[in-house]
Amino acid sequence: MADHIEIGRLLRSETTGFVFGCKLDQIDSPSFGALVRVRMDDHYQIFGLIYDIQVQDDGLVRQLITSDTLANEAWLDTRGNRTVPVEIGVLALGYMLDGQVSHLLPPRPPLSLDEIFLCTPAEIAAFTGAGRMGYLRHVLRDQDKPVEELLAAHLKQARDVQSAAGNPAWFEAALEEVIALLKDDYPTLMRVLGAVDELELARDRQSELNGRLG
Amino acid sequence: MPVNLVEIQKSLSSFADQAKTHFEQEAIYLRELEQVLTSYADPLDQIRSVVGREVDTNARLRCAVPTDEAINTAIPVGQLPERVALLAADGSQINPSRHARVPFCVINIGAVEMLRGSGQMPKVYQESQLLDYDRTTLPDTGLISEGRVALARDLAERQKLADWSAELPQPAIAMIDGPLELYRDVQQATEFERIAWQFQAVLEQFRRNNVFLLGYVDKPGSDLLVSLLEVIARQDKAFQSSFPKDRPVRVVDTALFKDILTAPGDRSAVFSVSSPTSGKFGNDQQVHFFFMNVGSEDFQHLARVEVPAWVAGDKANIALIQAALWDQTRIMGTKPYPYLLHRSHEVAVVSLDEHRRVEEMIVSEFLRHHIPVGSPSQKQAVKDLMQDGGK
Repeated sequence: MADHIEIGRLLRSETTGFVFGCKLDQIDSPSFGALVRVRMDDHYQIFGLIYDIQVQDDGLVRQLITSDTLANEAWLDTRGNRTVPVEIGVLALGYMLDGQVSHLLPPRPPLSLDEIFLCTPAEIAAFTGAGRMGYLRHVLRDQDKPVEELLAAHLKQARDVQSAAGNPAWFEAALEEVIALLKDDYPTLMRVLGAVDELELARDRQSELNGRLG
Repeated sequence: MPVNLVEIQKSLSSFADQAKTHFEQEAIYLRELEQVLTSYADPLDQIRSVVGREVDTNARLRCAVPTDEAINTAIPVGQLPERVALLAADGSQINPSRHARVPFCVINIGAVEMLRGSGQMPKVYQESQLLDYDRTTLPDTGLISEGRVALARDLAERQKLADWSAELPQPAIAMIDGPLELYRDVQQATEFERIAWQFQAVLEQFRRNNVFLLGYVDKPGSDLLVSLLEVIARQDKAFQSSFPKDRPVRVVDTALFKDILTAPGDRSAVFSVSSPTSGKFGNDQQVHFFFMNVGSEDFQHLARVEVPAWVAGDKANIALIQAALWDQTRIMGTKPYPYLLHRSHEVAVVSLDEHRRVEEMIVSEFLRHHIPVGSPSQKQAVKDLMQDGGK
């Protein structure tokens, strides 16, 4: 797999997700809703979705805010040299073992200081195109997270990749899967489709759904 | 409960009364000192000759000596040049402890370089030194004392500052937190003499490289100008009666400068120091100092800045240092302390976690070489238990 972009190292983890850290000057790479992977060994890697990006503060940052004339050099120093990490939360979506994608939760979480990489288009296409998109249920499970926005950001990224890979039908199938997963939770479904609509991705689907639900 | 707050409460009233009396005495003595200051602001030659006569009879005299500026002058801060190179260094240490599993000592030096006006990211320097086992464990006293470690740390801090600042573009300023001279603990007199020539070489290195070395003393408690005024007053009949040989109360220099350095950025006159050791490193390296108001219109805050004589000799150097410190303290907003000094402290400081990791590394190496490793003292073991959640 080409274009491996390392975006940070693991701080802490559990079965359903993990948090990794990167320096402030690395923050251009990871983005909300991006698919990432952790390579555990030659045979096993874990996939996840970035759901939260937190820029930590500390005493000095809080103090510098009070300055009327923050020097450029101090600004660069704080971002480039100081150990104030950006903490990035990732929702575990599945794993790949010996080349086979699974949308079940990973058997064991990643370990401290494991490297985190942004997924390449090929990796996104391989992970999202495998099986019956069962990984979407992990996104919808935790209502404490911004599920609608997260799903919309992910669907947009995956749709672009799948379309470029010659699979434009993927997006329709993904929306069908979301609708199926949320068939008993109309309010959430409406919020999800509203967020998707916000991206001008599925305006037609929502009106069609409104018709189906009467 | 570790402190009996009820007993403390009972003593508070008397404590506050004593403090009030103390402050009243201070205010009275301060007014006397201010009168001397006003009377003797200008006759600098006369003051220097008074000090000279006093030194002849009192070899232990330690006081300020005016240079060529009226002693009650206030000089406003000027413009910082377009570019100035700054480097600040700080040191910290892990002291050896007989309560630990292995005796070891680490000296950690951190520094941050800023090319102000360049728009470039500052550069961070860091060096950690595990002190030789033979220097840590001594035949006569056992473990090396904390005083000797502190002396070694202070020397290393200045040495690294000189090394790392050698290639700085001009004009260049190197700074440390605290006084310029190494702290002389009476118990470390022998050790101090042993490393004095090294310190002299470091001071010369700054001069050779034309890097303006300074020591920044925040919230200074010195009384060098007060001592000078007392010397002057005791030889002047108009003031003698108010200045007995033993002073009634201690007033610090900042109290005198409070009404002089009223504008933010102001600096005082530059003074040299007369003391038994002030000429030890040569006239060019003799410590000079000035006070500076690094506060704001609403909040005065005075710092003392020490520089060697060769820096103090040119007023343009002093103006550059004043402007640079003003700029550095502005970066920190409502807590006016030089940004780079704070950053170098951040880089240098050794956390408890790092302390433990170094100890574990040493223990592992000892075990690999079949060197016996002790256990922590029972006192330390019990303390560790408390830190882990004991009450």
